Amino acid sequence: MNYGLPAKTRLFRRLSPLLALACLLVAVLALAGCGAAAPDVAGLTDTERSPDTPLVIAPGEPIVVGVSSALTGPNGVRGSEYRDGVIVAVERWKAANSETIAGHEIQVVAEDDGCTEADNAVVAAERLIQRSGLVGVIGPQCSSGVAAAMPSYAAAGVVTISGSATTTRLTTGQEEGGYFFRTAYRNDLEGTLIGLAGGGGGGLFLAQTAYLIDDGDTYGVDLSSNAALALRANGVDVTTVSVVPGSVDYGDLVSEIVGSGADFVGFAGFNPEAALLYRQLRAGGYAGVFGAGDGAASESDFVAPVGEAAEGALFAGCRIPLPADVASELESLSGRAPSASFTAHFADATTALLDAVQAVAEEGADGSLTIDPAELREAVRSVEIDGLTGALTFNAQGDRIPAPGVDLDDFHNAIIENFDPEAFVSLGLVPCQVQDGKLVNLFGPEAGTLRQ
Amino acid sequence: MSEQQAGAGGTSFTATIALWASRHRRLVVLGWLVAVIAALVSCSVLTVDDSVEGNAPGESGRAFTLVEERFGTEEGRPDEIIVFSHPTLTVDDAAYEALVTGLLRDFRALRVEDTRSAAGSDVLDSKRLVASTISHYDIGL
Repeated sequence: MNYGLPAKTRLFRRLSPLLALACLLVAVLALAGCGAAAPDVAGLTDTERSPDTPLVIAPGEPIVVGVSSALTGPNGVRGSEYRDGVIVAVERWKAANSETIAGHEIQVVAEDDGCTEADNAVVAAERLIQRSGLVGVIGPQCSSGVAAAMPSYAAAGVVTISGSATTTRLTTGQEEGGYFFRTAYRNDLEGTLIGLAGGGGGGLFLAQTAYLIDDGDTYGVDLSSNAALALRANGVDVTTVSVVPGSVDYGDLVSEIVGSGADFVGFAGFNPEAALLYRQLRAGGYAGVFGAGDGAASESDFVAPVGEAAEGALFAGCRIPLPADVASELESLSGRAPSASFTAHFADATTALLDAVQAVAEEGADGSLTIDPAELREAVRSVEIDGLTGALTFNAQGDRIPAPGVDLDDFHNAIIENFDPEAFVSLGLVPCQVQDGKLVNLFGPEAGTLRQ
Repeated sequence: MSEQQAGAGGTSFTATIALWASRHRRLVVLGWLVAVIAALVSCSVLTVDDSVEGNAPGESGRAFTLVEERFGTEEGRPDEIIVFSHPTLTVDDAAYEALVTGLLRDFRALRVEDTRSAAGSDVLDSKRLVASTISHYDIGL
């Protein structure tokens, strides 16, 4: 039955103009629905960079602030927050100074460095160095990444300021005139904080027998060995153990610790290992004090997965309280409240870099911008800012110091002699404790009270 | 009433619609266009609460959420197996291992770029495409 339908060919001949119109309309509307086009961000170039080659940014081209942090993987949440800290710092710098530097806009390019994955940090470095208009890099995030990527950055004459890499030798092993700086404190200072605390300093706790466990990574081994030195100096009997990153079963180690009668267990490494070890320690009957370094101090990665059992755990390097407007801007970027340890340090690193760029960038008659790498490095070294983590500048080795001329070793020794761990606040180093599901700082601004 | 029964006594409902549509082709096409335009306009005008997530319950759900959060969605399938062979080199040659190592390094260097405006700045995120690689050399034993 054909129901009186017209011939197929005749139907399509009549409909074709209407169909064409319909397709055109749909295509136009679909394109209109795609929203705003993606911004035009500086691309990769084949230009060779070196400490002796001035960086020239063509007229109208942007200044690029590079970020090297983990954007994926186990450290991706913290690394993304650090990138957001850089974005917020750029906006705050623009609001306090100018929208552009000599007419050049400021862009942020973030490369995923995998944090502890050294080969990824090298890939990130190689890609950032190729980015046209790159004036410097905020990062890398982890010490092992810095150690692996620093030769590339130094050979290219690219200033890097890490907000979170704390391994001591990254700066103490760097020749004067190096291109690496950090707004983070050093592990030997954090180790002293742990040692003084274990010896009763700051009224945090008093240990007699301690187990220090590291994750075998650059950062963990360095922090553990420095903490062991400081604890022994304060009369604590210390046993050190290394575990393999990625371990999930700590049953044998827990039995050993519980059997030893240790009253303090410290972990130098990251999550999830710290959270897993802690849960198994408590489940295994360990009732003493537990502490960990900055790498594990996280509400999202330690407190949340451990739950109520996390109450009372101590951390040596914790988040500096952020002004409400900064915290709000960060939350609007990621959809979560900021909780990582070094977000403020990354923001301060960004401010230092932009101040230095503005100080040395020379504007050409054609509107181009020329920056000499060595001049920029020296400008970073002499920058003085009153940042989110406090007042800071840098010493000749690239370490953060609270004021020009302060000898960091003398400063450190004075803290030990005075048995005064609270003085570390001026280096952005504060301990904290899990209280009611939150990390509560025990020294410095907005400090709470230790709960026994 | 089934279509067969309707056919026996006259024209079915479906056939009636088809006949009507064939006689009012312009109206049908125009009506369709209006519906498409209305749908597209409403998509861009109306705000939709898409915060509802169909997460699995319990610990497995939390584990799934963590994996999604940590490893994102750009990677697509979490596992890919690549079988590598060489026309002349054998698996116990150092050059073979060097080739495989280089290939895996190149995979780990793959990036996916996303540009956006955030808090007033242009931002480019360059994320790795391959989270990690594991190699296994089959020597035929």
